[in-house]
Amino acid sequence: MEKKKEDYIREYLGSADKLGIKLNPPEEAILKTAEMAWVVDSYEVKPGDEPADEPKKKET
Amino acid sequence: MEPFQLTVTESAEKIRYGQLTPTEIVESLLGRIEELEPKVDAWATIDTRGALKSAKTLTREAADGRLRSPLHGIPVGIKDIFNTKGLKTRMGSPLFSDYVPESDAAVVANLRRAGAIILGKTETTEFAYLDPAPTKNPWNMEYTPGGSSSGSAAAVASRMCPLAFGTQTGGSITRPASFCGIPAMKPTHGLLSTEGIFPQSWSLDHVGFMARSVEDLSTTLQTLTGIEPPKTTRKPKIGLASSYFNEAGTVDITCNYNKSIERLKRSGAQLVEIELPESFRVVHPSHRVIMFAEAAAVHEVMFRKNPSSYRQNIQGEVYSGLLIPSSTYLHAQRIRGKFIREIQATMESIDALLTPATITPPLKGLTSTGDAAFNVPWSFSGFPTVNVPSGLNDEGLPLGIQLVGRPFEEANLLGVALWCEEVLLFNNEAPLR
Repeated sequence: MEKKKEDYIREYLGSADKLGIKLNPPEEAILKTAEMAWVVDSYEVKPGDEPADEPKKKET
Repeated sequence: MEPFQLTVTESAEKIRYGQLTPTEIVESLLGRIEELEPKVDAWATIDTRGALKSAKTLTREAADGRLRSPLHGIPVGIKDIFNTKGLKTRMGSPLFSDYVPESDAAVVANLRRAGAIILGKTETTEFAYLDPAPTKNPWNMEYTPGGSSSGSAAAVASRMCPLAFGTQTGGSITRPASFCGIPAMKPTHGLLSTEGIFPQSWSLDHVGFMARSVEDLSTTLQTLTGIEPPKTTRKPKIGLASSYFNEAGTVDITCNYNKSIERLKRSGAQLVEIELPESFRVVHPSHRVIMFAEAAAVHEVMFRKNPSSYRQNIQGEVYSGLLIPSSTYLHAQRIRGKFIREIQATMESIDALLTPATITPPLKGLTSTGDAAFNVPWSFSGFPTVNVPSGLNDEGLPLGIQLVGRPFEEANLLGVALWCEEVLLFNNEAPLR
């Protein structure tokens, strides 16, 4: 699992080169986002867990 | 009592009975602003001329017995990311330093129609993210007022206006309101339109407001949406989720939370422990992915042209958001759907969920606006929340509780909040030290 996380983060950070933005942004924010993205991608969702809509009013 | 000290409800009553005019209220608040603004820095723009002009019209209408709504003649502060026709709207960014919108945001237009007076624009963090505004906390000027609706919270707390509007994507209404010791409401996602407001993250952004009593919050929401009045609550059934909310906060937060629970219990509240759904553990990462990806989409063109015009935190947000794969973004949205269904089911049997409003008390210094961790789940799910001030820590800084309701059940939530406010009896007069 750890290896997978490292790969994920490496790939995420590697894609920064393709952005073409000349800037040295805060590394901490980028690394934290990469870790969060990995957590999200590692979480299993099942059919029926569709993208969120607005919360619905209860049928009355 | 000076007019600037009056709440929305008190002002409205005096206007209704001809004891006070909108012009007198505006003049009193402008005097208060002149006195305090150099210390507090709550305002990005003060519209003296526009406010006095509106007040004159509304004073005439009131004299003729034509009151537009309970907000007739009530001066309001508006966060500086809401478009206001003819009035600078700077988004807390040098990129918008001269921007003057040609039309009002939908909420601003509705407020004007209801007879509210736009007193000015309140300070925001840069593009409503984390890079702080210059605003100070009226309870102690060495501390942050929180953000991103920093100016709105500080202006209400220091009695420079009785009502102010803000937005919340993570914790940007609840946190500053709690740090400044005032009640605030974030209604269900989408109940108040975000049209004409600069987005932070369009699927998470909420419009909300702050005042000095829960009754004022209720009046404001009823005026803008026509919802029912708060449901009177005798002994509300309140849910607690101690496994997370009683452990993640600092000592003074947890202590105040437990004291508040004890007081509510003694007054008759029925308290039940609820179990947070399993998906709760990925709420914060999913929220960050959605917020950052959407912020990156909003800012990409401007950011590519002017990356160095962005401050440190929002640079990090936009830059790392541009790197998030679309599949990850959509995965986070699916998690959101799952969490909404699960938490809604969990909350079926209670009137409201009770948590501390913030994870820390107001922080010393003006470099950080604090942490939104306790507010994020409700911005993520879109459920309505109310902040109720609940005490002071040893340094004399305000702490609060957050009540969470089921979607579109604001009347019920406000009923519980009114009850809690009566029990907790917080004196919200900031010392301005």
